[in-house]
Amino acid sequence: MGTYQDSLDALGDPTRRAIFERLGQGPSAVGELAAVLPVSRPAVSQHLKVLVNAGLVAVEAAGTRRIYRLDPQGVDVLRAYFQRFWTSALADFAKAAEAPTEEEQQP
Amino acid sequence: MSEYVHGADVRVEISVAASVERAFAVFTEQAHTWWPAPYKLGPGGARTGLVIEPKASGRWYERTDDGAECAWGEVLAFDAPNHLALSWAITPTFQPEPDEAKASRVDVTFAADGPDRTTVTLVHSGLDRHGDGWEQARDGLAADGAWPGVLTAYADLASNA
Repeated sequence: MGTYQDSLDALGDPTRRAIFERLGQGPSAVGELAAVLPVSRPAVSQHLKVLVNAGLVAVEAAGTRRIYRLDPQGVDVLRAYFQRFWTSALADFAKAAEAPTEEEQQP
Repeated sequence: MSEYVHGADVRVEISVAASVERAFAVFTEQAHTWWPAPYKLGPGGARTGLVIEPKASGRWYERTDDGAECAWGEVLAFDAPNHLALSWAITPTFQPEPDEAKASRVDVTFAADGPDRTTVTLVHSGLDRHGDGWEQARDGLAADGAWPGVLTAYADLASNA
């Protein structure tokens, strides 16, 4: 299981983000990912390794194939999402709290 | 503004140029005005209200323009003007979460830094409790709007890390 910083670092690479977002649509094998992305199969494997080590992606064997999926136990995505959501929402809240009240707006 | 993440918690702190009473009132009584508009749970049209009942065990819920009300969770603590706690009974696909054991918790504290300056600290804890919902969210994540911009937000954050 990777740390939160590991997961952010892992997604700092655009190809890994593309793989991550593709897995957001459902589990895939390496070959399926390589078919829809402009990268070689070995490169996809290498990127998947980083995502797995970061705790973002889980892998399981299905017969002779290895299937990759977003780690259902991983809460890093939720944390990152809420960190961003609350930062943005509280900025809007501050603007509302700092806006002149109706009485103050009267001439 | 500062933020850090610890365990399954998210913490965001902001300094507001307003009295602690006003900051608390705007947060609790005017949530609809500043809460991002796309956030609504019900199948109805636009959100027309976001109500936080001013008491512990109260409801907090949205209203939509079709007249429907939909609960977002429960008011766990309401200690004006210093502390508000809400349960976040919303799944990762932004649907109502009927199972209380899968709700997370939002604590907001308001600390006066003088007559017209307040530090607001928000801690969203227990996100791991949404674990099962996260698995179900997998398909929904690809669809824009299910949980607005989750992957984009994550990617942006990662790019700036």
